[in-house]
Amino acid sequence: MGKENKSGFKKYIIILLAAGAALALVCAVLVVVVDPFFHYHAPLEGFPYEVDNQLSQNPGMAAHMDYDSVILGSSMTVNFDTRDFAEELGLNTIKLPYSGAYPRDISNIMKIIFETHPDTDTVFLGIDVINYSSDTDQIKFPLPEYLYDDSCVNDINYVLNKDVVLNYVIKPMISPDPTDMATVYHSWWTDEYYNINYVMPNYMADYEEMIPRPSELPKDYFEEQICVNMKENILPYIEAHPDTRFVVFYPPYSILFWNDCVNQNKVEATLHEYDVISRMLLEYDNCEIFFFADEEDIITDLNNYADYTHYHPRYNSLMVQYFADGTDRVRDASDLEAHISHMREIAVGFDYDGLLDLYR
Amino acid sequence: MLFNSYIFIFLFFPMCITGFYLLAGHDRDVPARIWLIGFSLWFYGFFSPAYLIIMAVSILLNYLLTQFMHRTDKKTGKRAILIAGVIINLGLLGYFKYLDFTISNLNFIFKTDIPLRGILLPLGISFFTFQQIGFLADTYRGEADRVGFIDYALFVSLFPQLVAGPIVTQAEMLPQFKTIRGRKPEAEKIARGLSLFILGLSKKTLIADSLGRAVDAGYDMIPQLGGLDSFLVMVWYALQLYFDFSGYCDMARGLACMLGFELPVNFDSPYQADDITDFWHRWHRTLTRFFTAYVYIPLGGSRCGEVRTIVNILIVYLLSGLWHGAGWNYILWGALHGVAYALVRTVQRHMRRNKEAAGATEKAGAGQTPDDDGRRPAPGSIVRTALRAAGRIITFLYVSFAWIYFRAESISQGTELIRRMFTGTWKNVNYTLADKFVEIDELWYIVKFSGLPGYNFPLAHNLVMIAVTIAALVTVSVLPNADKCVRRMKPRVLNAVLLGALGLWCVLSLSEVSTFLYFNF
Repeated sequence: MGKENKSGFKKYIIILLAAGAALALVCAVLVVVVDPFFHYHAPLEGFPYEVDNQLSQNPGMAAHMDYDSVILGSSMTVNFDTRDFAEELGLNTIKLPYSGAYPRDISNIMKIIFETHPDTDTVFLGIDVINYSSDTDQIKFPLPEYLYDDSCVNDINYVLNKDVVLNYVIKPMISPDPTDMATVYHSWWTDEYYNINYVMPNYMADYEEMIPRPSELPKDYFEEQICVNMKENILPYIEAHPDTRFVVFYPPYSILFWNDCVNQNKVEATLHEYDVISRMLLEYDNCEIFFFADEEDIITDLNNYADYTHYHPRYNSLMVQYFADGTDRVRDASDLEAHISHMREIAVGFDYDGLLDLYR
Repeated sequence: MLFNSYIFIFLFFPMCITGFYLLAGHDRDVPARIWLIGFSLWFYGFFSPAYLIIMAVSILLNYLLTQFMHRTDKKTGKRAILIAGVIINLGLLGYFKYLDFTISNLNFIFKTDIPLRGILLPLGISFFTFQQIGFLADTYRGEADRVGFIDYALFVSLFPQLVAGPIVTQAEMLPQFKTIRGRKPEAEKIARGLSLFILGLSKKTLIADSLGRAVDAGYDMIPQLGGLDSFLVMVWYALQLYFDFSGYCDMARGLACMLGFELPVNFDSPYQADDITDFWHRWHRTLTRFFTAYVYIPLGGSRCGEVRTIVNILIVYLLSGLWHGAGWNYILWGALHGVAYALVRTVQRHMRRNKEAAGATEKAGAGQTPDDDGRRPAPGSIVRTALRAAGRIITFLYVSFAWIYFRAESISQGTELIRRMFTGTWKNVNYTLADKFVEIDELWYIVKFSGLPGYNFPLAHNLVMIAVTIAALVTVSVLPNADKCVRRMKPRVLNAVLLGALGLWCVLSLSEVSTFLYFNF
């Protein structure tokens, strides 16, 4: 009886472990074959991939997809339609944005891009100046390291992962809703959200007018850290890839962004950030700068926005047109000064009280 | 290192158990013990190497104190060493756990501005400190034999119980160390241990963590919660805490069992308790045992009159609150339990005395007498069954109510949740809370294939939420716990396949894809 019992438990252990191992193998094989994060290979032809996770899917897309140009930046870049780039510029472009991106986030993905696609034709980079005075190693969200490093051991986090199996492998098979890669990561705001009557109440809910205003931030307050950041995270790639064209642009934030700057008494310090970054970039022949921040007609009409910075997708299309025809391009220091002066005029001269009083 | 991690499951434990049995089975008991200590240090140091130094110093100091105590013949000398030991241990615990709490209270009382130290609490320090105080006290009482340093270090550091208990005693562990020599893997122990580990892992990863999402969301949005929302958040947290903590203890027992050790049962279906005193015989039993043996009884226990007994109970529960965390909310939680315990115990004693005086005990027939501990009414009539069920429900609700302060960041936050329970609406559930249940990956498939309304339809979310809540409540209030299931388990093929699949499901849940819904920069 004791012996039978013993062998019964032995058999039990073997079956339990074998069942677990067999199922684990099935899951791992499914993940490796489908590879929904493109960690091992390019997308399978015809599989309805769902692409909705910048942190997890961008590195694989950068490494294994076919492209000759990329769009990098923050949420300011998610509403680009890559078909515009094909039509206007003849480029096969992919979007690799990181919402709230810091320079190190950009650096991390550029590292993968140039390791795997050293002959990339163009990098479109949206720069949010206020994020460029961060610590040089600051990233917006913790990265799933196993998708960013070369170790195979920690790939267990990917191949034995319930979210991956259920949400990115089996769910698309049962309920296919493939992502249109031209508009991947588009924001959820539909047209009706781009409305002053949606923007202002939300803005006013969090807005605190500073009375009295704090003393003015020194103009060069951010300069040192911006220089360090550029030198560590951005310029090395521009220098190392002289045959790649870097198209850097400053997105057109709404006038409410500038109201915040006025309220915090840092207009000059913010304008100086544009100046410092642009002057560093003007040193490189393979770098083009587009200054959209002072597009007055766009930024002063809040019906173009869904919140204080995020503009309607039609302006993404417009920016692509401008990339093609050279509108708003900063070719030299005088262009830069002209744009900054114009921006200053708008930021300082706008009737903020008239706008805010309507929604107080 | 966490039990619920890839490295523990696929590397650490397989290496540990293989090496241990290879050494122990070849009569190399000292190397086998050192092997276990080495792995325990790896396990603990994985969290932070600095923690390792703190634990090593604590072990060394306490071991030296026990040696001094053994060498001292005089009672006063032993007593002095015991007092010194308790002060050192509590001092260490106090420094890491209570210094900032003390400073912030001093700042509040004396309007001072002493900066907080921001000291990180080494994991498990409350557990290994209490375990060692227990050892010192047992040595003082002459209940602990002299042990070598290796056995002592193994007693304190053995990884299954190191970080979150159960709090073991020398009396139950040291005899087990003596049988390490020649120990060979036993199929039954490994099978039952493995099964218990998987059930514990599933309680933690599949149930507790899922409930935790809704609880976290609830505590993050208290001002928006209605009455029913607040009530549900309270219930979910009670369930989350049970599945989390008891799941961890099941895993600890399972791992120890696979290594041939037996750890005490720490949770015995606590939400099936008939009253609050019964609850504390079932919830975190080894902590209750510790406080009873080393605080309550030395204070006089119930031997010094009713008032003193009540005071002793209150002291124990206030200390228990403080042990759980450095904050007034924990002390309030302890006080809520202490008052309820003292009240129920006193009423029960009076009722029992009245019954005895009336000779009720002699007259009552079989099946109608109170059971051996005199606490629970025996089953028999519908009225008794109903009373018992009511007792369970009231106990669960009271315990859940007290947990609010345990989970809250402050007393005011907890009170706000309670206030909303009585002032907010009970007509519907906040969609954000219900939505958290459909974020559980598996539930998308349930909604998809069950005929429930479409994925984004709030009704489906509410139905899923209700189903999960009821299933969890039934599990804790009616079904046998994991330990009992494993003890009764037969080594059938179906059981093995199901447990294997469940284990894999848990492993798949260890890593989640980082998600965020962020549209501002």
